[in-house]
Amino acid sequence: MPPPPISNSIRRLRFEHDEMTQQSLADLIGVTRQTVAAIEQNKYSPSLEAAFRIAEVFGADINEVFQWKRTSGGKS
Amino acid sequence: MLNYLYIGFGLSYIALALMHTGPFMSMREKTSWVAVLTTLVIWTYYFGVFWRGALQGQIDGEAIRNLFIICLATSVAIMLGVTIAIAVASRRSMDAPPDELERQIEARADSVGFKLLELLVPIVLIGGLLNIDAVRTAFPADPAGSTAIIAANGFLMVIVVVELVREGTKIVLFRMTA
Repeated sequence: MPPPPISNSIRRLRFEHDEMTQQSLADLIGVTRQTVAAIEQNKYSPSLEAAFRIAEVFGADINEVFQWKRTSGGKS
Repeated sequence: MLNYLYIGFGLSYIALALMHTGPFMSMREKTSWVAVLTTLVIWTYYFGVFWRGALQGQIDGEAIRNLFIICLATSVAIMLGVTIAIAVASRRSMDAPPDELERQIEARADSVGFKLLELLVPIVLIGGLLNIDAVRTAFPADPAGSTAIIAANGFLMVIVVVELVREGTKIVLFRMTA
């Protein structure tokens, strides 16, 4: 299965927020640490709700946390 | 007796190994490992004893029933005991609701398991019906009882195989996202 065409800045944002652990972020958004790790490594695309929750934790805009990689067939 | 000791030691080792995987595996993945390994060990033993006897033309209904009850009780006790031990060791709730990734993985594993069930039930049913005469000839002392016991164990084997594949699928999907 190819990785989703989405990249994210969760690792950087965690580092900038007092080196927040994956477990702390997981507890704040109500998922397991393994799910946060999968999202961070781009192996799993989170639901819209989880994506907004992550952005809310970091006090950032969702576009700052998740970036859509334009596909060749997509409109710009 | 020695067989039971080997099984006991083997499962204790698995429990200890899973308790020391720490945060690398979620509670649900560990539970799936416990289910797969316990099912493999205990039900392979049960079906090994049953089919060996059946192929030699010896089906002792009472002995099979007792073995079935022992295997069922042992597998439930081990799965429950090891899961509680892992939950205590990792300080995680045993009945925490699944998160979105776990729900997705469970749904995909259920779908695989259901498709396999749809495939295996007709195979066992048709295979059983086609071999009724052979079973009756092989067990002249109690043809009806033997046919019923073999059919019941055929369906039991389908349930065990489906459960193994379902839990195995979960493990593969958990590993793919790890």
